[in-house]
Amino acid sequence: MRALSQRLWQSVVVLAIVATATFVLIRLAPGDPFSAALENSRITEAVRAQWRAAYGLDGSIGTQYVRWIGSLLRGDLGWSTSTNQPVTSAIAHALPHSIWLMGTALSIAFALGMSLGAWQAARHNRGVDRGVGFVTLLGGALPDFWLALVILLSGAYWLRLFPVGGASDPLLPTNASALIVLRDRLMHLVLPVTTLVILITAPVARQQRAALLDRLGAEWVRTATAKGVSAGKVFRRHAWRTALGPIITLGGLALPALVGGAVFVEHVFAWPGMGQLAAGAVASRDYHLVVGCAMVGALLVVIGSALADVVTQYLDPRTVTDASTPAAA
Amino acid sequence: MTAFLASGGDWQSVLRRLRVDQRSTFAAGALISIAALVLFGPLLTAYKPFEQLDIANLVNARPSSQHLLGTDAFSRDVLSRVLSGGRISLVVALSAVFIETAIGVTWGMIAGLAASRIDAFMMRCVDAAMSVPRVLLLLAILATAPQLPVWLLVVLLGATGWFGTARLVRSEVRALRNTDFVLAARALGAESSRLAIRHVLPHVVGPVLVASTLAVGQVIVLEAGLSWLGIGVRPPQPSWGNIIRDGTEFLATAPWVSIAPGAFLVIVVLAVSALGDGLRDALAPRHLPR
Repeated sequence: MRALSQRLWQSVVVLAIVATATFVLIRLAPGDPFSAALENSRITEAVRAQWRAAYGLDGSIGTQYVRWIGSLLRGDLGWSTSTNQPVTSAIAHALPHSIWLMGTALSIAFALGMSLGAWQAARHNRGVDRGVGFVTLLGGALPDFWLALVILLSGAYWLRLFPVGGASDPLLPTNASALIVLRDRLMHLVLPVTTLVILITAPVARQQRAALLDRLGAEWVRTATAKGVSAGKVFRRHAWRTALGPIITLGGLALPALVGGAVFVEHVFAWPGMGQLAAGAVASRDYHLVVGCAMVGALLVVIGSALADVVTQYLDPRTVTDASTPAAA
Repeated sequence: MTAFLASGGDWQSVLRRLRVDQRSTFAAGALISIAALVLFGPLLTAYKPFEQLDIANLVNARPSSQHLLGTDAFSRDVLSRVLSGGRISLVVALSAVFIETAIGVTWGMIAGLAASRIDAFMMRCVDAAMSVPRVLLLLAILATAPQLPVWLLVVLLGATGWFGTARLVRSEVRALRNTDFVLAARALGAESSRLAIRHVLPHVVGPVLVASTLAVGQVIVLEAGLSWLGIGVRPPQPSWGNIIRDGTEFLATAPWVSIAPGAFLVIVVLAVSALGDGLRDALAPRHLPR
């Protein structure tokens, strides 16, 4: 219980640091939300001042910060100047797209990566291991934006099988049947998900292989083998299960990738997710949206590592005592 | 955790294991060849990287014996641009990694040796910084800077990449803190700075070297990504990222412009990762089954 409250407290501190730091940093960056309009010399100083006041961007950083905390406590994240809507609704639009894309990609990549890694470990140092090892090394070496371009080129231009971008067809009739809508969504999903799966599978497989090889060399595995437990059972029950820890940690770390992890891939495929939203917000100096996105990201970091710890503790009760030490240890 | 300790800090045997490892020697060979190619290549190519050869007839020409990697939309020879851009990409990545390693090691050492309150605060800052994607951090700074000198890009890349190294070093230092030799040095009256540099630093060199090697791969991709967005290395200066950018618009009709620099990127990152892996194994020979 004490560990839990300490954990919660740490999470709040991290969130507060992220929110405050982004709040200050984005204001320190050159330009402001109205940069383009403000360069227009025909707009008088009075109009500019009025704009700033209307969007709550007048006064010192301190006053703005206090004002922002005040509205945050009322559940209001502020107004997004670039998308012209409340920050909460901008995020509410983008987040489901990110979860749809990243959720699919992460599930496939983890399933695939864990199988590949286990396969490699079971055939350690044989042809299969080396072959798959090279492929995963290559997968980890591919620049994300370039891979996305190559997949876009081959899947949408050469093969002409899939749409070039977006999350759905805007010309789809509103009365289209659910099946057609689903098919359209899935077709739009294929290319970006393929890109992300290639990128994410590689580290998962490498981690799984390394963790399993580590466990296979352990004394309890030797004991089990000596006791006459069958090789398959040793692999599954004694090695694989205990090697889940690092994979779960990796999964927890992957959760924040929902925001910002796929900026380039979303950009290439014009995917209306959090990565694009955050990148656009930063580029157009949409102060409140930037802070909002950063907070969603930080929240996912906190949730991801907490989830990973909970699952790890469930699987391996020995780690429970570790909860009282700082998360970063 | 203290992997390097296990190997006894014996650099000669590390080097020997590295040389025996086929993967590492192959990777090192590939890196040396590419370094030589981008260093001396521009002296050997027949065309200049900025030269617009024939804007009427040589636009987006296919790869041929004249132009091994074809030409781009401005009728410039892609091979010359890729070789010249490689210089920038490699120099930017190596210098940025040098900076991030320096900051990360310093921060991690201070946090690791400091009192637990200071340590906790320093590490919470690192946690917070790591929870904001690096791309967005850089985007915030770069997006409205109209003219950005390359050295400033290097500094910014370095300043946003040290968090992982800091965490790594800090955990190594924490583990070393209570070892007998550090306690002995402290008992003999060694000052904190001496303790850090003489007794702790040598033991974190191994893991840091592995992390930095792998970081070169990350930074080179990151720089390419930013340049591809048009906010990293800016034209006319070619870099692998902005050559890919030049080709993106004509991806369907002249894919070679984007694919060639991308292939170079992949080879370099692949070699760097293989070398990092090899280095890690050479530093801590694992006890593998059978």
